Amino acid sequence: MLCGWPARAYSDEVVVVVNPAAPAGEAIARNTLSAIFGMRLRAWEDGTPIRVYVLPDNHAVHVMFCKQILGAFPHQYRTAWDRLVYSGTGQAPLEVASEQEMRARVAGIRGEAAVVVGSEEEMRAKVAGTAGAIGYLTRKMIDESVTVVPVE
Amino acid sequence: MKVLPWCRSSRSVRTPQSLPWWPALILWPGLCGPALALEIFEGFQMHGFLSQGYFLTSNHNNLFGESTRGGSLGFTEIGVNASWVPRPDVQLAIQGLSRRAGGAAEGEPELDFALLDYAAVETADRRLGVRVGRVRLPFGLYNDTRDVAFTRPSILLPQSIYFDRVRELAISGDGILFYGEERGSWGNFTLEFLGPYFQRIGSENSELSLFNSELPGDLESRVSWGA
Repeated sequence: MLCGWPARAYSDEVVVVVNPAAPAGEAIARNTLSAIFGMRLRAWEDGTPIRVYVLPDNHAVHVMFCKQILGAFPHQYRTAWDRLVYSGTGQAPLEVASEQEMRARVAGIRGEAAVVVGSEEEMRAKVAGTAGAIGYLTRKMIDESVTVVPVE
Repeated sequence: MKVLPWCRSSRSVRTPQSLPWWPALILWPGLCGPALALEIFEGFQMHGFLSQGYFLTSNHNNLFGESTRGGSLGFTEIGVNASWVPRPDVQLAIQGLSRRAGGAAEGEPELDFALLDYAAVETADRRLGVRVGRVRLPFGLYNDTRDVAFTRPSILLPQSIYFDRVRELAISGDGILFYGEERGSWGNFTLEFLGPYFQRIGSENSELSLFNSELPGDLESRVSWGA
């Protein structure tokens, strides 16, 4: 029934997306998601490294994702990342400049709809290593190059 | 429990002939922010920070005293670090730091941390591991990143706890740290066990704060433990 609804109704909903080859399972637990985006959980269950992509802190979609899905403010995640990075106990997520770029990176080489903002050559080199990637997009940006994972 | 030095002083100046302590004003329009954040290749990141403070203090200020000659720029913190995660359970990290703070630190570059982190157990809700090398000491709430202006809640951390005169004793040590982390819906719980490790006691600041004068001879570090 939901499929019959106009897509526009969902255009502002933020969803979690993963690389189609990433072993994320049918759904992802909220705790696990906050451990992943808090940069504390580093591998999928099968040992594949998790590559976390985020939009800039002040990006409207990042703010929506933090508040609606993670239940925290962007600055709380930024502080958590800084504390990991500057104590040598963790790394920061990879920041992408736009949603289109995020879709291209998460999709990997197979992403034909890779509309890349910035240098495409540099982009291609980085996209080559995005097995295990996770990010988020508004629903209107979803296409077959990424897999949507529901959050429980 | 220790009394904060400025709290103690503030009570002593509450006398009829002196003004209350609160007009004391510290201006710190510091510049700070992540100067760089780069992923050089997959799993290898570099980050840095730079803060430059400008201190202008008013009269009736028992902590810093009154500024002379229009304030001071004598507070700079610069750090650069690199980290590499070759596999999800291993991380190597190193950070160099230069800190200039009045007469307490003159900006000599120092090795802040250099460690290998290995997680023996990692599941979605648990991580057990060990850090070896020069590790940040789990002391107070902010010791881990106390020199990074955008991770601390105040201009300077309270000196009763984060005592900058003996910072090398508290900031990092050379040894082994075991840690466990439990992630629940209620939050993260972390337990850290430190030891054996050796304290860093090379500088004259440590000697001055322990003996209040410079004495002949050298300080020697013995094996320490902590949790």
